[in-house]
Amino acid sequence: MNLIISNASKMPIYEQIVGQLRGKIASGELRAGDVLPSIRALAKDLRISVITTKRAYDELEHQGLIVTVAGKGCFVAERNPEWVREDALRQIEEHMRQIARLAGEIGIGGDALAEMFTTLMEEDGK
Amino acid sequence: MKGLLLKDLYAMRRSLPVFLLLIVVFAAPGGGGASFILFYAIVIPINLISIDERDRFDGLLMALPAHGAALVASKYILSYGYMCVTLLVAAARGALSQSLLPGAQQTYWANIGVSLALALAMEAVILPILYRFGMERGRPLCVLAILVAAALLGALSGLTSEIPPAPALVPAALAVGALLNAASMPLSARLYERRMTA
Amino acid sequence: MTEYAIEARGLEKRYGDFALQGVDLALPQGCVLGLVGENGAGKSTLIRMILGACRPDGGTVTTLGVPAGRSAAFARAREEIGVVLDDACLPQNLTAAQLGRAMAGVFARWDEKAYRAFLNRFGVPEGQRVSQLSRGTRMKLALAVAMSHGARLLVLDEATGGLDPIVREEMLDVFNDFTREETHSVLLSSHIVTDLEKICDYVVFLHEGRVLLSEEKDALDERYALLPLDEASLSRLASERPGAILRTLRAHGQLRALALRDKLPPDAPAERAGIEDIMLLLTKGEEWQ
Repeated sequence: MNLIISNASKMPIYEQIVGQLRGKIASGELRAGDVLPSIRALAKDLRISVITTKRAYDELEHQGLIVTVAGKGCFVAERNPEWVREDALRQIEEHMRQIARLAGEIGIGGDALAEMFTTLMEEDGK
Repeated sequence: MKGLLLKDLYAMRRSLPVFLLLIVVFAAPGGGGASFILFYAIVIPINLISIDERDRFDGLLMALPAHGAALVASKYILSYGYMCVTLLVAAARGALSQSLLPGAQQTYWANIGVSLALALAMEAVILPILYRFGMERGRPLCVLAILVAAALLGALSGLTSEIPPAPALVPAALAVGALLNAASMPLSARLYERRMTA
Repeated sequence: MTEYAIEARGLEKRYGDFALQGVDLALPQGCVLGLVGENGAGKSTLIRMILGACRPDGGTVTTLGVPAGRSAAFARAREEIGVVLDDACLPQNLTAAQLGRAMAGVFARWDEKAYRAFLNRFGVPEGQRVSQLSRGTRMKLALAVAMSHGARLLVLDEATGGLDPIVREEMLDVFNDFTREETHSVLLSSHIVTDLEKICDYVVFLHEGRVLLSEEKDALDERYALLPLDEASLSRLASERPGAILRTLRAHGQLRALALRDKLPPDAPAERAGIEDIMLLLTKGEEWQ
């Protein structure tokens, strides 16, 4: 499995793992029932802390994206990729609603918001 | 234990032939005498202790499932080994003299016996000193011990030239030497461990 | 229940005017713990206590489940501890092959094949005496010994110091692979923080005989941040967010501030604080007034 961890990134390492795995599940690269590397193996392959890797898996499990079977390992949960995409979209929508509400409260219009967002995306290099 | 003995043997491998040569030269017929060369046994543990100090072997020892006692015991055992080889060569020489010149070999054996007892006693005294004070501070004390031993030997040989040492005296002297060693080894081990764990 | 490879509580040791005070350290099984601190901070003394080679004046230390000390039980526990020390302390007159034969007589579970394989992998000549080897090769030889007797715990005291980056990287690889096994743990002391940064799960920072910091390594990133701000901006920030700024240090004409990330406003120009920065600011920095 190909994950790329950046130490220079501002994003915590466990969030990088969570994000990339979510992406792989959403894109269908990882399918329901696929076995994931063990926490220890992944940590050692990526040369990152075991604790951090465990935290990422815990988070993924909490989000219902993976399941841990005692004694067998971790698997991609029985959810189709569309569900993962939709779930992400739902989360985005929710955040946007909050943004719209806050912006409305202080009178920032949609164009200004869009501009702010573009700037932020550029800063993050996306 | 076995491993540490092997380590000590390897550590002095290059000087080992010299020791054997000395034994043969001195203890063989025409040599200076087994009595003299017996005292050289002490050089082996002294060499090994200074090698251990140079290598800072106590550092490695704390990584091994072995106690300081084993490291100390190895020094005693190797010098006993040296004494045994010396005695064997001396015995061969004694047997040869006996066959060539049947007669009184008692003085020869008594001398060797007394020397062995003295060499043992010297070892029993010197090693705890070295383990207590370390090589640097212990060395002058050892020289003193050796001088005392030499003086004793001189006095004894002065005596024996007039009266051969009573054969009964030899086993007693050997018993004393053995007893001293039995006490010396655990004492050295304790002193070494104490210095190590300070 | 977490099992600990090493568990030290309230360790005290006094040597003249140096003192180790109330040192706690816990290394969960399967993890790598980095012990950081400048020379003389007490790292080696702590390690000697962990290995049972030095009796603490107070407190307890349990290594692989056995109280560290001179007991026969602990001597057996040492079968499973691989140790590499500062300057290797290997017998100079021996060759690597002879050392292997001697170690076979010391360790009950000596694995000669594994030893030869490590010598080969590390490029340590078998027939040359230790005294003829370079420092790097000596350390690799010591590591080969430490890895060849079925150890579950590796203890390395300044083992990577003074080695070139390639050799260091090689050694870190070995530690990384070693801890693929869940029951294998590593305690690594160093004053070269970048090595620890690469490989550790936990970091314990010893300073003047005390534990100044004991933390999951990645949590450090989340807790601390550097602020590249001038004095005026710092004051403004400090009055807005009391307690956010921990220490400041002026070095090479530049002011650096160590701050607690969760107390900073989201738009603060927080930069990632490396272990080295954190160490430096915690020990040499001034408290923000």
